[in-house]
Amino acid sequence: MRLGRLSVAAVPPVIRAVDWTPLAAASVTTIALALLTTPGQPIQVQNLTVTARMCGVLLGVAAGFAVVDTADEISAVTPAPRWLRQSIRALGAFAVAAAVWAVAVSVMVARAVTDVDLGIGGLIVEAAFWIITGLSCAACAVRFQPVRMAAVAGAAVTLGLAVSTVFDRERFWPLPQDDQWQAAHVIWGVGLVVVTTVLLLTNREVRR
Amino acid sequence: MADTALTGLVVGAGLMLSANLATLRDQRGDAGELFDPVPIRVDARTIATLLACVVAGTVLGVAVIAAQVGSMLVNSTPVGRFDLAELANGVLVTILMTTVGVAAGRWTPGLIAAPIVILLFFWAVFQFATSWLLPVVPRADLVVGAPRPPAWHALYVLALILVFGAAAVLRHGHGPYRVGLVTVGTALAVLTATMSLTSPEAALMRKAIDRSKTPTSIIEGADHCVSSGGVTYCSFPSYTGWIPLWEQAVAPVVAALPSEVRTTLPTVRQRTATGMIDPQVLADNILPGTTWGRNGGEVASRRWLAAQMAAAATGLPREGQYSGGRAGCDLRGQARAIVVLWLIGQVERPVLPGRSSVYVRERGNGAERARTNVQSDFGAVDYGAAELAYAERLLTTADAGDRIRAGWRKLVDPATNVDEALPILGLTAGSAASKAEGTPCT
Repeated sequence: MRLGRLSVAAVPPVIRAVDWTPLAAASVTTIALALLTTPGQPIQVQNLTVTARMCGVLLGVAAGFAVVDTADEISAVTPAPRWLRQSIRALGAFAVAAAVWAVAVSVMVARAVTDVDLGIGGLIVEAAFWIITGLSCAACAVRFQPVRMAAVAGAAVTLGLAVSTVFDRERFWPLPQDDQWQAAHVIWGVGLVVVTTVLLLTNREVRR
Repeated sequence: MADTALTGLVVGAGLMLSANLATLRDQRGDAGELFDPVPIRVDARTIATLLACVVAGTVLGVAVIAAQVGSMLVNSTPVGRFDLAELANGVLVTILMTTVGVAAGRWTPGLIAAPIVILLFFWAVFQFATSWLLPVVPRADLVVGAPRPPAWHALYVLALILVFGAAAVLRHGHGPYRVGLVTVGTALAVLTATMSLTSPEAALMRKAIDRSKTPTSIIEGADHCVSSGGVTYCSFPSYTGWIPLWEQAVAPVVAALPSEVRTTLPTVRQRTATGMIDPQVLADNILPGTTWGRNGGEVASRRWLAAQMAAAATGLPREGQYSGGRAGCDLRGQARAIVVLWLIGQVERPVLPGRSSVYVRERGNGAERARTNVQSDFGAVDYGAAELAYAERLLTTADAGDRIRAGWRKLVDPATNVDEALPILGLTAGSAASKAEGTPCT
């Protein structure tokens, strides 16, 4: 009961303390990319998937900046524990990133070809994976040093992960029509569980 | 080589992050103020960062690309066209990306700028894969040996480097030299972009890509042909070095066939990696691709090609052909299973087929179901351990070739089963003959 009240009370100040600029910049870019995908003609499945996937990675990278609490070291005495503050940050950033991604994909779906399966369900799993991966990588880095640079380190790792999967495109990035679609999303689903666990673990108190 | 140039993009992404961080150093920990009393001004620091970027980009780009190209030469028969300008393009891309990192650092204070620009680079490359306006063009492999304008394109990337470098310095004041540099760079970029797009080579490339949408396109241009031992081998002009490799896999199989069969064999013709496949093209040709194994992988390549020729000689479906639906057909229990595996054995030791589980979406209701696909050296053709064991015993028998050639017609008849074939082949019954589990091959 006490925790419930504390959580509700902690949300406004923590959300205000988040630096939303990177996520805002990434959101503008995401919407722009959605609008710039094959302008003037119906969007084909492969173009839609490429943009939706890239936007997921980009929003993940940008969301990572939200878990940087430069006042982390001096906030140890606040009534809200670190895991609560960090979870509020991560949850807030995830909600914004997911909403922006949903808007961008909706914009594209409205213009997409209608006669084929766009595989939106699978794309949602992928986007969730990449947003939480971006959050987790930055959350790991801020444990070492709660500075904004940590988010860049997280971004580098996230981008590195994304690039390293491109070389096995058939396994990780199939198109909805491909045979491997289902198998690939089992991988992304398992990955989602893993990175979420990592995120929860990294939100714990840091021993100093 | 387009892949190698793409490597430049990955190296460039890392360098862009570093360059951006180096440029933004002024804003961290009040470093700008600390630098104030130093005689070197901020624009000199920008130029120094830019120069460092060019050096780092060149060294890393050359090192990574040289390592990649070098590693590809190990135990391989290099074919294709070695184009230094195209590789230089890969290095130039890394330099361009670091320069953009510096410019982004000078014009936008946020740390997010570099990751956004990196994503934009990759997005553009995947979204407009065939546009010559990209700093790196990944899909030049649509057509083998297509003419490309890399020299103009390399100059174009160079001009872009100039533009972004000058833009970074322009942040600190609009001197005539700086404005001049941006103007010259932009003019050069426009000129070289126009030359890249309108050059006769680019027009040929476009034509080649249009052609790649026709049904016979995958073999279009594979017309360097050599006849040897009754088989015609056709490769793309730049891949002639591989014809002897194909011959090593095919000639022993052909030599083991009865003479009347040798006259009806398909052509071994090279295909591109992507494109439409016409059933007639598939029926007339065995289609090795633009890859061939090395460092041990050549065994599988040879076995595959031998299997294709063995399948063609015995009337089995080959890679891309289907008998009994997409799930493939079953050769278990048929006498010709032993014959085709023995034919493969003339080149490499035959192996059991592989299996992969795939989910397929049904047309109409969109429901998904699991399906097990067979992938053997023939294609979608299944066989069992019993047939393989007989073939292996046959391979150790001295007069096997003569027996097979003498009883050819009976042996390759789909109606002949293993038990009927054993006396013809001079084999005694071994392990229990397996029964067909899937649709029998016809």
